[in-house]
Amino acid sequence: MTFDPEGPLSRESEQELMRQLVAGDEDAIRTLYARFGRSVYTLGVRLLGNNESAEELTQDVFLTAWRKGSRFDATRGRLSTWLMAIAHNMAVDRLRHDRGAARPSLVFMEELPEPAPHDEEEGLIERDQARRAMAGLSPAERRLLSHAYFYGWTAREIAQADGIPLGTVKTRLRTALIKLRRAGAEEARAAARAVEGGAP
Amino acid sequence: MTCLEVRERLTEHALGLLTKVDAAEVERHLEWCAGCRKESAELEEGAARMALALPMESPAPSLETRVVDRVRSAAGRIPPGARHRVRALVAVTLAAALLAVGAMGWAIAERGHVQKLNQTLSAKEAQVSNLGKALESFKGWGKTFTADLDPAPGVRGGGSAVISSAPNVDDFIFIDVVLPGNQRGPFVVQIVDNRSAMRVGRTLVRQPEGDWVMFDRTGRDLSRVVTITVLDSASRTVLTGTVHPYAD
Repeated sequence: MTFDPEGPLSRESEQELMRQLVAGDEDAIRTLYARFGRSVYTLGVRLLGNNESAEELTQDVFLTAWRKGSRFDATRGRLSTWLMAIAHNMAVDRLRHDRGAARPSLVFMEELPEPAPHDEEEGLIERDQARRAMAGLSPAERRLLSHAYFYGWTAREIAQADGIPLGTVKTRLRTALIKLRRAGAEEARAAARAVEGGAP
Repeated sequence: MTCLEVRERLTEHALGLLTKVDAAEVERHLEWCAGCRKESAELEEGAARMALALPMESPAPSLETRVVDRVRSAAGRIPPGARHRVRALVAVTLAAALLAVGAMGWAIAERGHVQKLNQTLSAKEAQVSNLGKALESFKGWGKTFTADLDPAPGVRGGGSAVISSAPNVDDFIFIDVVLPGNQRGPFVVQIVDNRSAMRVGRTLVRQPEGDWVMFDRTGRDLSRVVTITVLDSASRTVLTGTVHPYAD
């Protein structure tokens, strides 16, 4: 099976791609890198703060994807979700290790930028969908998620900083994540309908 | 951990904010609870979109080659998961055998015949095709847990661990680690359960084929272990992994 490096992959194709990756197939490694290499690297730069660490993280993430690839189950979630979770967890682990802290104190991310509607670098449909999903959040929701995901603030720390109840912070974080997920899912369904209907 | 307790933590889990111990507890629950797993998957999908929405950075063009070479190198040197899966199966099967012979088996292990034990393990690798049956018979009256041990940043290597926990028999742990030749011991194993940290009093033993193993009966309940960490002589983390129920 060959894979389009940019178009959407079906769940079956994602499962097959991972099967080939686990087998050490070079085309599968290159396909996975073509689809997610820049995203992983970008997350590394944002969280770790320099290119060298981001490159090291990217190599480690793909190696981990190979090592744990047999556990990937496309019926449980998208490949992008699985891979970005690995990348985020490994970056956080690295920060914890380097700084000897029990919990990461993430730096570098000034503020999650306003999502651009489109740019000429846009390659992956999934990335475009993610940006539009982010655009659907209020500035307050983006700020809240940014503090948690990119700064590593716990719900308790956000509650203390903003002077709002802990339960409210948790609820708002959850609501924002669900909104992101739903917006992305609706985008994906619309894209699938467009493809099936022959829309441009 | 109940579903209510897990769901209370799922948002922070998706955002990577839980401690390793808490995260491991949540993940252990998710292994068997489809409802919480679905909720977790939805939240993680939302979190992943934040990463995917970032304005793209451009890595050096050579990074792709380095990624490909590293994965291919690893895939060529050690068939993916096979060696450690074999080791895990061997350990579980041996555990079944030891449990079957009861105290005598343990007495042999405890009299310091670790080397002989490991020779037995190596010899049994050739019989891997027959191990599934023994594993299944063992699973009928005990619990088996495994962990992939991943390298800390800047460290190369990997490993796996098997824990068996059965009623009326002391629990035990088996660890097998592969590290580059320049990594020198002693290495100490630290296991953490969901109540307290405990340091296993034995170090890994270097094997003739170059890997490091530990086989130990701790006399403690190991069914609640959530993480296993291998530390070097300076107490720096070398490898670490989360414990999961065994799944073939």
